[in-house]
Amino acid sequence: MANKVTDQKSVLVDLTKCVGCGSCTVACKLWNNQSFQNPQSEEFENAHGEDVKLDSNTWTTVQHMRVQKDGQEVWRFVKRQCMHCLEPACSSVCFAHAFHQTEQGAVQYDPELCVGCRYCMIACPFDIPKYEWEKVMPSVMKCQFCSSKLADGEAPACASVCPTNALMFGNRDEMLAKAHEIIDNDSRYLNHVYGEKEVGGTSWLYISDVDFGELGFPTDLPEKSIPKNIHGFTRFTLPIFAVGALTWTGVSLYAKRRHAVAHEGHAAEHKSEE
Amino acid sequence: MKEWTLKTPKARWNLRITPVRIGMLALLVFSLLLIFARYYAGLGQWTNLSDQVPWGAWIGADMNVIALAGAGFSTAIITHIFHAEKYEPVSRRCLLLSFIGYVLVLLILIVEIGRWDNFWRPFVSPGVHSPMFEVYMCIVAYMVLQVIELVEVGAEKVSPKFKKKMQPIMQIVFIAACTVPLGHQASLGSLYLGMPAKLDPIWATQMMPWLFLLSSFFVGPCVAIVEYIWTNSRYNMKVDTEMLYGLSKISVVLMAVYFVMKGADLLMRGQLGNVFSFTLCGNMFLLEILLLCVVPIIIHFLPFGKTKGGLLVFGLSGMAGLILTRLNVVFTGMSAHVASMGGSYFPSFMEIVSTLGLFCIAFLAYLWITENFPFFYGLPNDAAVNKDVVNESESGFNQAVM
Repeated sequence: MANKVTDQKSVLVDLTKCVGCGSCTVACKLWNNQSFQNPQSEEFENAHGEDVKLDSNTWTTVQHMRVQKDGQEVWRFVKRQCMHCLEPACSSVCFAHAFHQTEQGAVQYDPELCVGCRYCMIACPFDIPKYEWEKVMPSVMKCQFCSSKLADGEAPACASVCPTNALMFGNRDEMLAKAHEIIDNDSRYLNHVYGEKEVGGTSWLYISDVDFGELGFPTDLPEKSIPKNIHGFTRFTLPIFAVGALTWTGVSLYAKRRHAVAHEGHAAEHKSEE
Repeated sequence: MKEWTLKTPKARWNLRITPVRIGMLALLVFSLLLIFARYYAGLGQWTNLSDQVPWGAWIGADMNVIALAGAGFSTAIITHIFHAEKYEPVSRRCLLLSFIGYVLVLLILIVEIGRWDNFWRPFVSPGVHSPMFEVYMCIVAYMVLQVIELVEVGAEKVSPKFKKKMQPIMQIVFIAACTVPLGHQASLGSLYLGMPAKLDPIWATQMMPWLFLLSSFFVGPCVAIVEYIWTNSRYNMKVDTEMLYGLSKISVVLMAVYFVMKGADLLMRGQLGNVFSFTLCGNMFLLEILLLCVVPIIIHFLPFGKTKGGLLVFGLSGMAGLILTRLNVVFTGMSAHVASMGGSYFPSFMEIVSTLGLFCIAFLAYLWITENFPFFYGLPNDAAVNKDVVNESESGFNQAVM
């Protein structure tokens, strides 16, 4: 949770503008030098289409979805990738400190430190981290927010190639203001910036004209971040040890003394009988 | 004060082999071959784990073994902290049982984790905010303390002089060993505070760490009772039902506390409706609380509860309930979320056999260690038992059928 983010960057995704071209997915593969093969079946796979999934080789997808809007079926295209939480669950649950945030808020993974417990995968509220199941020495894989590009003041690969300006890159405060401005000026948008408050806020923000639940976003997320939820208990750790050790010492001494007294009493009784 | 008779095998060392043990060894060897294959080909090839279900049977087994190994800690608190010396006969066995349990946990984990070669990283790159970190550190610390306690027991046979030298530090070790498990037993519950939106609301509560801690504590005597009856019957030693009944009384009080706590938790979060909704989660929860609290409490207050059979059912019910609480969190409570991602899980042949094989190590270790070191106390002031000690090799261990 130690957060040294000083220049929080953000990408605002306007889902009404995405045409599902998949340029961003290609840019991601090229920049990160990843193949188009499915890691399990080793077959060629597009990262955009109706039946796409994130995997260890694919850090972003654009899912083509047919959803109901105003009583008729419409297409919507949903880009998925790591949301880069402001208070990342993956980072706080990692017991080897294999995740950290850069100054720009990119959540980074260091395979050198990873023990492979996969707690990050199960704790991520967006189910983003994927595993290299096919490898003998596997790592966790997820979008790194093109951290070196961000550090240089550039947009991530995906956002830099978007032809419809559906992916807007900038400081999070500005992107958030922009999102609300767009929503306020156009009644077709839902009044909800996804990622503004979910699990304490995320770097990636979405606006949409179709219900987020229908587009496959988890909608039952608490506003409290996952690290804060866990900290609700872990803050008791040291007090538990202190109280435990003191209580046991006290009880032990008392019980011992009581036994000794009972024994002495018994012995005295025995003596007087004689 | 009552004097204890110590049962030490007459023959200096003994490595008993029986058909059942040969079977266990065979399963162990087979499972080691499969585990070797897993190291050679990777997790994906041999397990049914996936991106949707990253934690499977191995984690389920570990959660249970740690919880059941809590027997070592709860019986130690009863005998070494509250100085209820009449329970001494069970606490020393539970110490060993618990230590072997933790070794088993580490063995399973070293197969389970993807980068087993990095197991030491948390020591140099600590993720202090992770409940997993607390679990790891506490288990390691606890095992060190257990080794000291076990060395004391071993010294009783090998070098009584050394045992005497250890006495000054033992009370400190006992207190530390009764404190450290508070950390990891509770932290196992806090692991799932990381998935508040994924775990079914019946289980997903901030109370989880405290419930995990309490349940592992009161199931300790259940494990102790089952182990005591099982072992003593095997070795033709008398079963002191009166002592076991006293032990079960301690459990029953805490079972009632747990039942009220869990009920209040469900009530306050408005989840009672879910419990009685006849859904998979609701039904599994009812079964869990029935086995963990209701059945043992009822048995305890029946005349049956004072008999050997009653105590055995009491213990087994509590253990089954505990196993169900952990499996329900790991699997049942997460199943709706897994299904929503299009995932499903049933352990692979390799996952099942490797787990069973590693359990065989635990069983064999327990049998051989107890047959060579002084873990079984005879009954106090019991002439028949004292005679047994003299003729140990004839009446006790040599008749063991397992």
